[in-house]
Amino acid sequence: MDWIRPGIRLTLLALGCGLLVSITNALTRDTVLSNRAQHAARQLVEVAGNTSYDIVAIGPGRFALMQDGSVAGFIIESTTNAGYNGRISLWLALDLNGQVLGVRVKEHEETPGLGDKIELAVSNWILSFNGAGAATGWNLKRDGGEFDQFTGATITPRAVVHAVRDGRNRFLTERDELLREAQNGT
Amino acid sequence: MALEQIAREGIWSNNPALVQLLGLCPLLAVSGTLVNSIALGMTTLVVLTLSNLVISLLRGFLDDSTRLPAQIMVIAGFVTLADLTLQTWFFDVHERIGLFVALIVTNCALLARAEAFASRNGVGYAVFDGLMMGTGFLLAIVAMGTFREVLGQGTLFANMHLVFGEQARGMQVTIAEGGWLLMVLPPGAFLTLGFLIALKNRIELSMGERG
Repeated sequence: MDWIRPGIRLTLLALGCGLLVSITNALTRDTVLSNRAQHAARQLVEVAGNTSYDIVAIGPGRFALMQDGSVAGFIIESTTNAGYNGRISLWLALDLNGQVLGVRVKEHEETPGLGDKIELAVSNWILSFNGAGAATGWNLKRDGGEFDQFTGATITPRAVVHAVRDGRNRFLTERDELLREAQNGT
Repeated sequence: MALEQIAREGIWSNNPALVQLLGLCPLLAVSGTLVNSIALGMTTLVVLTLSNLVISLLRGFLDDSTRLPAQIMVIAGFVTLADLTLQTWFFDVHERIGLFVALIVTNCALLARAEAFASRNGVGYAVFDGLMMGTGFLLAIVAMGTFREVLGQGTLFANMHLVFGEQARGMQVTIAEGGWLLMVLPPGAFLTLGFLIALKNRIELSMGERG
């Protein structure tokens, strides 16, 4: 029976730790969500490449770029699980012809110092998608395409190149539906 | 036990990274650049100090059977708080090292200090020990980060604004175009650690010879 007292104490400690973490979470939750939203919004403006666009949400992960009251392009999300450490999700800005206006990484778990070169804060690589379109070689240079790989990391950039390619292809098939959603929304 | 002895042990003679060889996972994984090293080193220092504080406070509350689970719980609790803190006030830093903040729980230096020191000493000493051991870890990871960034990327102080704010944005010094790839990868981390340990031992040897 001499396990009862230590058992109770350990349980109390567990409750205490749990309470402390829950309270902190509750107190910081709004700020964290707001940070994430701000980060995302900043990224959206960045990815559109042009601050004269009005960015209008037309669905989850879908935004229309409005200029002078008419639709000039879209921002869509594209994800891949082919990253070195799993899921990479991207914001992809395209004009109505499917030409890439910009790409930014929304979320990833790639290795700091190696795969994280897909982030603009670390390197300019992600800018190499600007202006890409139908005639682009959608592969890494070592796979016969146009895009640089990183010294020491090929899986990460390859995943991103393919994710942009596939997102763009998906956009082209969904474009009319997106246009309709944009007209209805505005 | 003198504060001076605690300080000397934490920073030098019993350095958690270079002597006790604890916390090698974050030490090797996050020390590719100086700014990452500073971020993780500081976070580890804060968590270690706070966990030593609480575990020392709980000294009379726990017995042999509950001590270890309790220590792990306290450390994990503080690591979670640190993670939330980074997401609240240093969001961009969290974007870069968030993966490894959670792994501070596996940094054996924290459990080692909890078990070897904090659970057997008063709060003041425990806090000071946490600070000194944390500083020792910070110095080791910063030394590694400096070495690996210069040799591996050819830069120093790249991206310092992530930790120190906008005024630190232009601090980057570019020494060479690119660097020795090996230094960015795990083998380079091991080599750098080995070199640092050897260097420390060499310094100690020559200090002993003179004294």
